[in-house]
This record gives sequence, structure tokens and C-alpha cells, in this order.
Amino acid sequence: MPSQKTDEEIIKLYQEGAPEIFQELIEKYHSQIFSFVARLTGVSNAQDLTQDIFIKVWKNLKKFDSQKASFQTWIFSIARNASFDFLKKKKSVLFSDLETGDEPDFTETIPDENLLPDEVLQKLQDSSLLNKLLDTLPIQQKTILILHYQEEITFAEIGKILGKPLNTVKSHHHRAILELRKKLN
Amino acid sequence: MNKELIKIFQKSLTPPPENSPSLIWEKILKREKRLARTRLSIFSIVGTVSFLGLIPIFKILLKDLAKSGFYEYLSIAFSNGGTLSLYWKELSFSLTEALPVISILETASLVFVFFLSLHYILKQIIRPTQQKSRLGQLSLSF
Repeated sequence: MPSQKTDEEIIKLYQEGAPEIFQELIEKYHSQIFSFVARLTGVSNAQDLTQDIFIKVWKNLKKFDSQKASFQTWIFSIARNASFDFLKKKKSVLFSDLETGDEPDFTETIPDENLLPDEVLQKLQDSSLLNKLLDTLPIQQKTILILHYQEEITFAEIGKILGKPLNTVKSHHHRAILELRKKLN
Repeated sequence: MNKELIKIFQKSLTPPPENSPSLIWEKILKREKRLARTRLSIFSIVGTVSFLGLIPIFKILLKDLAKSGFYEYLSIAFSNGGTLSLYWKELSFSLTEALPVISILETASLVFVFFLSLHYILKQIIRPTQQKSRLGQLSLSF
């Protein structure tokens, strides 16, 4: 049964020498991490990658500092790094796609909600079409969409996960939405 | 946040296998066990080598102490109380000078490595036992 403890309480107990409490973190986050990784790298790789991510978390949890970032941000950063490394190894993503040097930094005045008209949203109801479209997007944009809409993480937190400024995240998101609309029209 | 998009994304989520949490936990435990075994073997080897190395190093130390005249100065210190009270400064200088520093350092470092390995070996043996008993109580709540 999932406990009522907060992440900070669980981590504190773990750091004080109760390793078995880690199971509560697994219980709490495995589903989110699995879905995130499955969307980024494919369902067939998700189980192994999720296990590797939790092993990394286990190895580094003693060093985790809740003053610097929330546990959710931290675990998603690890998941993102592991997924990007996996894609790099598989060579399905170019290194240059992951290391974006010149970040577009424009602030649009059009709200994102207005960018996708109803008929486009209707088409996106088809899950396989959504997955196909996501696969055509650059990896950074894809990651931002997944984190924002699937995991409901704010742009500010996504910025911390990806190590990018807030405006860059927003403009990547904006471009991704425009791209989706273009492809569906 | 576009609520409609959230619904679309979450509708097409891939759920993890039901036993996923227990698989993750088992993998962590297996890895920990393997690491503990590796550490135990490394420290056992280092401990044994340092212990075996102590025998010749200790012999060399005794030989060096004999060669440097350390025992002679030491015997003077214990033979005549009057001499010791008069010349204690000179005697302590001579005793210090007669110490074979390199041999002592070699022996001390080997003793240090031996006890350090022993400490880690005991830690590796005690920690998994403690963990096992705690985990046994929990018996995987998944």
C-alpha cells in the first residue's frame, strides 16, 4: 500500500539508514518513469531502462540534496539522461540534437492553447498517430511535450530537468506545438 | 496547460508490467549482493597479502634495529639508573637516531592496510546480515 510519507520524509529515513524504505519511492514513481521512458525510447526498452534508472537513484540517493531540487525533478533528470544516453548509443538520435548550443529564445504572444484547433486535437486522439508525430519531433521538443502533458510538470521544473532556461523551454514547446499543427494540417 | 492535450497524452500511456516494482527491487538487491561479494573478495586478498607481507617486513625491522645499535642504547637505559638520570637527553637522542625509520614506516603502513581491510571485511559481513533481517521483516510488500 502506498504510504502517506512525503518524498523528503522517505529520503530522510533512507539517508538515516533504512534502505528498505526505497521500495516506497519505487512504488510511487515507477509508473511515471516507465511511461516517460517508454514514450522516449520505445516500450520494448522501457523496463530495462526503468530498472537502470532506479539503480542510479539508489546509488546516488545518499548524496541527494532536497535544497537544490525536488526529488521529482531529480529523478526525471536521471531518467532523461539515461534515455538520451540510450538513444545516443543506439544512434537513433544525433549528438547535436541533444546538445543544442544556439537556443531559440523568442517569446510568443499567442497562447499555446490557441495553437491547436479542435480538429487537430480530434486527430490527435489516435494514440498511434500521436506517437508517430512525437517521433518526428526533435528529441528536446518531444521530451518537453511528454514532461509537460504526460507528467504535468511545469515549464520551470522542466527547465531544471533539462538544465535549460525557462524561456528556452517555452520556445521549444511553442515550436513543438506549431510543428504538430503543421504536420496534422 | 492545455487540458485536452493532457487527456490525449495520458490516454495513450503505456502502463508498466504489474510486477515491475518487485523486479526493480530484486535487481537492486542482486546488485548490492554482487557488490558486497566483490568488495569482500578484494579486501580479503588485500588483507591476506598485507598480513603475509608483515612477516618479512617485521623480520627486516628487527634486523635493522639490531644493526643500528638501538638495542644497545636501550639496554643502557635500563641497566643503570644513575647514568640515565645524568645523560637522559643524549641517550634519547641516540635512541631516536638509531631508529630505522624506513623499516618502521613500512611495517606501520602494512599494519594499517591490514587493519583497514579487516575493518571493511567485517563491515561487509555485518551489513548484509543486518539488511537481510530488516528486509525479511518487510518481505516485499509489492
